[in-house]
Parts: sequence; C-alpha cells; structure tokens
Amino acid sequence: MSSARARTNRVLGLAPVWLLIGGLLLAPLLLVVAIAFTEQGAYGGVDWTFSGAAFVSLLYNVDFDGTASVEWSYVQIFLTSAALAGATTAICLLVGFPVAYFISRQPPSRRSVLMLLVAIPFWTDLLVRIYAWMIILGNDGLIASALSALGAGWLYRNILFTPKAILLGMTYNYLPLMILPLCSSLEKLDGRLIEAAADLYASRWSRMKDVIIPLTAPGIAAGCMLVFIPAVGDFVTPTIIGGGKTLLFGNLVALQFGSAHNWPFGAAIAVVMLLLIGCAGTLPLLIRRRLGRVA
Amino acid sequence: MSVQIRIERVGKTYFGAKGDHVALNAVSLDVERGEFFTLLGPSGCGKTTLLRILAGFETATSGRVLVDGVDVSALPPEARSINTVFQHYALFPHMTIAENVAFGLKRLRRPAADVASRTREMLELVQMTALAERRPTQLSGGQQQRVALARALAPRPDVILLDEPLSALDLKLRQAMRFELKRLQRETGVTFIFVTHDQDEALSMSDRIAVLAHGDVQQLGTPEDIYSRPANRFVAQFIGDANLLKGEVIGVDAAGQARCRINEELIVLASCDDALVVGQEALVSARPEQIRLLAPSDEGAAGEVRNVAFMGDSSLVELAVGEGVIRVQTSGETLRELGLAPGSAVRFQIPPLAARIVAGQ
Amino acid sequence: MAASEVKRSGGAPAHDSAPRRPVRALLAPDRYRGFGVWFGFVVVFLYAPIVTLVVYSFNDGDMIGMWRGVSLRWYQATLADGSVRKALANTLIVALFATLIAVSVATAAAVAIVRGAGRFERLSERLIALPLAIPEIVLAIATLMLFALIDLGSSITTLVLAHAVFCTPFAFMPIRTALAQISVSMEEAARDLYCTPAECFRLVTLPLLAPGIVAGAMLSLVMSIDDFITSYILSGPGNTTVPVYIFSMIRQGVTPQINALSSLLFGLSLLLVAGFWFSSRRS
Repeated sequence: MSSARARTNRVLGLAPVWLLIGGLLLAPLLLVVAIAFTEQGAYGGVDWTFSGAAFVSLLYNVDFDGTASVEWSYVQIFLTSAALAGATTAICLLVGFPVAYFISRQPPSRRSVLMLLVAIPFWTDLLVRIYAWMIILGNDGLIASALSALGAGWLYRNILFTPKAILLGMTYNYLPLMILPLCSSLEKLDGRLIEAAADLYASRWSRMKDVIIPLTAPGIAAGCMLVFIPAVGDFVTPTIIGGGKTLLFGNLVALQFGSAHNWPFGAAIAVVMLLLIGCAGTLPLLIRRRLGRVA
Repeated sequence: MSVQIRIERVGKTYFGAKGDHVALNAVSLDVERGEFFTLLGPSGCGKTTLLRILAGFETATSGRVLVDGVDVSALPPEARSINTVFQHYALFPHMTIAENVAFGLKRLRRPAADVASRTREMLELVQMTALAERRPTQLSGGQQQRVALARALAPRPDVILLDEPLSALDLKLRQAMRFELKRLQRETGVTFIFVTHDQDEALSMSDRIAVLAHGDVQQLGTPEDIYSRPANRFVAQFIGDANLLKGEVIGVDAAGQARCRINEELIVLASCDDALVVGQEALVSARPEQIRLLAPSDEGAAGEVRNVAFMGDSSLVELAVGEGVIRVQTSGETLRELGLAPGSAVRFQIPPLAARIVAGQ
Repeated sequence: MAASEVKRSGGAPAHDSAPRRPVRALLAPDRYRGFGVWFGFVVVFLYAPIVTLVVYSFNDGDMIGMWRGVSLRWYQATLADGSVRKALANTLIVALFATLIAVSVATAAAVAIVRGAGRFERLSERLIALPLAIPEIVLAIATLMLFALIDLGSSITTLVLAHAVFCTPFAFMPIRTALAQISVSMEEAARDLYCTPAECFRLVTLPLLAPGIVAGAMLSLVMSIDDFITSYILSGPGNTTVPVYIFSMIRQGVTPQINALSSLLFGLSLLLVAGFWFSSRRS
C-alpha cells in the first residue's frame, strides 16, 4: 500500500475528467476568447489576424467612409438581458425563500417528498415548460377563453410576446434552481439557534433578519448564481413566449452562428457575457464579506 | 510463552503543510503468543496509529514490525495474517451475516465446504447462528459486535486487532462484552491486541497493558503493576484517581521504600523504584480509596471536610489540608459513624506502602 | 404528562380539579404564519402549466382553448410521424451514450476525489462543476467552433460528446454523496480480510456505490433527454432530437400535436426522476 501508488491511481481516476471537460469545455472556451480577437473572414469564416474589431463593433458603427458613430442597440440588449436576469433572480429569491424555509422545517421524510415536488418541473424539458405557458397566456389560450366564457373577455390583456411574459417565463423556469440550494442550506440550519434567538427576546422578524438569513447566506448566494447564469444566457424563453421581439444576449449569440454568420462578433458577445457573470459572481462574495464583518 | 509480534522502534510522523505531527516516537514492544495485550491511552496518544501500522493500513516512517521473526512492514493488509475488529464494526451492509463471516475465507480461496463449516463454527462461537441470514442493519450494536469478532476470527489469523470495539455500546452491554471478549480469547487462544482509552476495560481484561501518551510508551506491565505501581505522574493520574502530594524525602531504606514528609503531621511511607536522596523533593501519589478517615480524636493528619459527593456504592469526600485538597473515597458507613458534613473536622491516615513516589525532583 | 405524574407521586397538587380550558397552541418559534399557504400557491404555479399541457394533449379538438372531449388522436398522429420516431430514437441514443460516458468519468473521479484530499483533487472537483457555471449557449457555440475548426461535422457522436460534458456534474453529485457515506473502514475491512485492491473495489466499493451510480445515471439521462440548447446548436438535419423537433414545430405554429409530444417527453422525464428518487433513497 505505497502512497506513491495510491497517488498514481488517483491521477488515473481523474484523467478522464480532464480529458472530457478539459478537452470539450476549457479548450473551446479558450478558442472562443481567441476567435473574439480575430476578424470575420470573407465567406463567413474566421480570418486569423489579431483584431479588436469585434469588440469595437459592439459599441461603434463604422461606416464605409470610416466615420464611427456610437451604436446603442447592443448596449441596450446587454442592459435588457442583465436587467431581466437580475429581476428574475430577485423575484425567484423573494418567492422561493419562504417556500424553501417551509420545506426545511418539515420532518425529514416529508421534506424529501416536498423537495421532489419542487424539483420535478425543473427536470422537465425547458421547452415543454415554456411552451405550456403559451397555451395558458395566448389570445386563444386558457385565460382568454375562461374570461370570455364568463363574459369578462374585456378584462383580458395579452402579455404574450412582451418582456413581462419573458420575466414570468424565466421566473417559472428557474424558480426550482433557487429553492433547491436554499433548502439544502436551510435544512442544515440548527433549529435550536432559532429557539435560542427567541429565548433571547428576538422577534420573529429579528430571528429572520439576524439569525436565519445571515446563517444561510452561502445558500442564498448559490441560488442566486444558479438562477442568474442560465437566465442571462437564455434565448429559448425570449424566442418562444417573447415572440422573438425582445432580443437578448442569447439570441444575439445564436444569431451570429446562424443567419448572421459572424463568428468573431458572436465570440466577443460570449466573452462579454462571461465577464458579466464573473462580475455577478463576485457580488455574493462581497456581500458575504460584509455580512461577515457585521457578524 | 514466546514473542509473536515484535515492534521495533516504530515511529510515525505526518508531514503536513502546516507543520509535521509526530504520532509515534520510536515505540518498541513485544507481544507474546496467546496474550491479551492492551494499548491504553488518551485520544491522540498514538495507539490507533500503532494499531493501523500493525494491520497494514498505514506505513511507519521508521522502524519495523516482525511477526514470528518475519518483517511484515512492507506487506499490504491482505498479505498479513492479522485481522481487525473495527471501531464501528465495518460490517458489509450488502451482505448477510454469514456472508460477512465467510468473506475472508473466500478471499483466501478456501474450499467451499471448509468455508461453510468454519462459518457455522464461528457463528456458533459467538451465538449468532439464528441470525445468519439477516443483514447487519437488522442487528443491535451488541450483535454487530459479535459478528465483527466472528468475521475477524474466521480465517484463523495469528493476531486479532481490536480498535475500541466496545466504545459504541451502552454501559451495561459494554460490561457484559468484556467477559465475552475474554472468553473468546481464552477459547480460541488467539493473540488479542486491544486498543482503548477506557482504563476499566484495560484493567479488567488484559494480561499486559502498555500505557501510551504523546507517542511514547509510558509504562508496560500487568494491570496490577500499572494500578499500584504507576511509573510516573501521567500514569498515576490517567489510571484511576490519584492525589498527588508534594513532599520531602526524609529517609530511604534498602528495600526501595522512602519516608516522605508532606506536612508537619503527615509523613508517608511510599514505595519507589528510583534511587532517592534524603532531602530531595518528591511527588507522592495516593489513591482516594486507600486513604483512611478517622475521628478527630484519633491519631493522624488533620483536615476539614469541604464537600461530600454521594456516589451510590461509596462517597467521595474532599478534604482541605493546609493549602491543598485531598480526595478520599469512603463507605457510607464510615461517613455516618464519623458524622461527616461540610465544615466538620476530621483526621486521616495514608497506610504504609499504599502510596507511591511517582517523580523525584 | 410525565411532570404531572411526578407531582402526583410527591403529593397531589390542589389545582388538579381546575376546569380544563382549551389552550390555543403557540406558533413554534421557528415557524412563520403564511409560509405554508405560500408554498401551496407556488406548487400550483409550478404545476399548472404542465398539468394544462398534459390535459390538453388528450383534447379531441383542434383549438387549444376549446375542449371537445377525450381522445388519443394526437398521440396516434405524433407516433405515426416518421420524423418524430427518428427524433425519439436519436434522443434516446444520445442520452444513453452520453450517460455511459458521464457515469464512468464521474465514478472514477468521485473515487479519486473522495478518497484523496490533495490540491489536484480539489481543482478537479471545481472542473467538474464548471459546466454549471457557464451559460449553456456559450458552451454550445464554443463546442460548435471547436468541432468546426477540427472539421468534425455534425453527427450523433459529436452530440454525444457535447452532452457528456454537461451530464458529468449531474452524474457526479449523487455518486460523490454515496461514496462519502461509505466509511473508509469498510474498504479497510475488505483489505484486512485478504482482498486485493481490485477485489476490494469489485466486491465492496462498487456494490455499496450502486444506488448512487443509478441515481447519477438517472439525472444524467434526464439532463440529456431534456436538453434543447446544445442539441439545437450542434445538431444537423439528420440528428434532430425531440426538443429540437418540438422547437421547430412551435415556430411553424401551435398545433395540438406539440401537446402530445411534449407530454410524452414529460412522462419520460417523470419516469427517470422517479427512478432517481428511489435509487437515491436506497443509498
């Protein structure tokens, strides 16, 4: 049982992971960064010369005569995407926290059933879930038919194909991703700490604010990241229940590899998206550090 | 008897990023064939590390282990004729009791008939025949314990290692299992090396005990030796309860006995192994149950009762003597006769040779 | 209860005969009023669309909002469609092979990571979680570029490889949890009882790990079957999967056939999630 041999075995065990994820995730990501700094080839391919043109074209529109004017449409798309993803994350947190807390205070056997109940919609195909909303929201959808059957058809406002519908759809899609990590964080919270706080005259609100939330901050951060990441890159929800009218990050990227066929530009957008997620990822860290200082 | 296991200057150091930790400090021990040998010490003393080195789960950083004169240090666990009873039994949950017991025999490629008969024999030995087809999770802690023993004994190993096997059981069961373990050891004649931090277990079962602390053997001897003649302050305090009294040596005789003056009224005749000089300071250990309480009118050293704790079969009395405190264990009868309560005056005696000098200074 | 009995044995208290008034139970200190009702609302919110979808998949009518009685005609129409059957077969083939890769890779990694605690192990664990930290669309287009660069055309094989990447973290999690619950002394006991390292893995570690591996495989299958984004970017005309097929149907216009196909996909996911749940309970 030599430790050198055990070490070799461990490295052998980890080799496949590095081969698979290193080769098909790290390598492609590096490639994206590289391609973001090249120029669009004449026939839609990549011209391997170093260039920042793709990034420049995110902000400026260069005319044939060389004059540059600021191009606001992409900035607007970025802001809309970030705002929608941020709003989705916030709504999911507000809606999901009480749910996760309720589940975490149940006896263990019931807890696992309730968590499964929340998880099942998440394990259902994204497309199916979004499509289901079309049946409900549409002009001849469930709500519209129900209202008109009651003679109250005038009450109906079609939100399908608007940003509101996208927000609703994203909240629906990613809510389980908020609730599940919150649950696993909350169920580790020792109930005696809450009782101790109550014993020391903390009101119900104070127990939540001073004990429960600070102690589950890592779970809150994890839930927020798990929601924000897919939300910021989502292009299915805006395409289907947004009707393709609201362009988001994801649509823009997909477009460059579809009809627009501008790889360097698509890669540059992807790089910006990753940077945005990187920034958003440090946010919970900063909050936690501040909380740590207070506590 | 002959030496079966020879542990030669076995040392173990864990090298870590935050600094090295020495778990064992060149320990040497001989274990004889058919012996019930106990490694006793507080947690972190290195006893489990030594056991794991014997089993082959860990490699010593220095020294070697000989079994019947053969160096086994480089052998993996599966090549050693040594079996372990694990602290939490480590019974395979996906196998029945009988499959668990047969496991080692099958790995040794014993013929199927032998495996079956030996398994039956072992289950009978630990009285688990009726539950042979159950799974480990369906058994109580005590039953799992028996199965773990049967499993370790089945391949007829030279030595059985037991790693705190009783620690997961409740008090009543723990006491019953002590007799059971002793019976199994006697009936099978296999050498048992037993690791525990519980002095009662060690004293009640062992042929010999090695007391370990800080990676070193503090004392090696029979339970009687270790209890009545502790080699040093650590052993005196770790095994049983001991009052440690500072005094001055006022007389030494040829038999290794010394007279020590603790205070003006209290002079103790204590046994000692080291050479002492008259006038030097010494640390005297006296067991609470060996100190005798007397009426204030009797001859003896004076003390004042501070506290009386009722302990069921006896009572523990705390005496203020001068600056210090002496604990005395006494019967309820004595307590009533003397009418002791906090604040009452009392006299006491330490009988000749009941005390022991644990450190000359 | 116990307290009152003790009191009685030590002399009955005088107020024993006081009339019993119903006491309003205190809300436990860790409970919040309304959270339970909120939970109910959220569950309804989560299930209403799916239930609607499944119910309407049995609608005999052509219009979504109009109920014309129960019928299986849309299921029959869907399953009779050759391109749906092809898509279904593709989906299952991709899911099976991607899961096979993901589970093998994840098991090997879990054994190395749980039983070792070095810096390389911790780094590897982060690597496995990385697919969860990157928007799938970015990963998909990155993979597309790589395959294009090395002239690997769209095929079932490229789809399998791409799926295996994001399936691995989902396969890894339950396997890792199951392995961490197997005490090291279990493996030491096997070695102690004359097992070689290979026998130890085959006879002790693997059987104990089996429920975790099954759970990981179920999650991986669900992830692969339900995947839309990666398949959409990477699949070509010959290797469409069901979600991609549904997407193209939606873009062509809403027909009740989508309900039937979506419900089938949902049923398949539900089956696998149930499998996951029972196997992870066993471990």
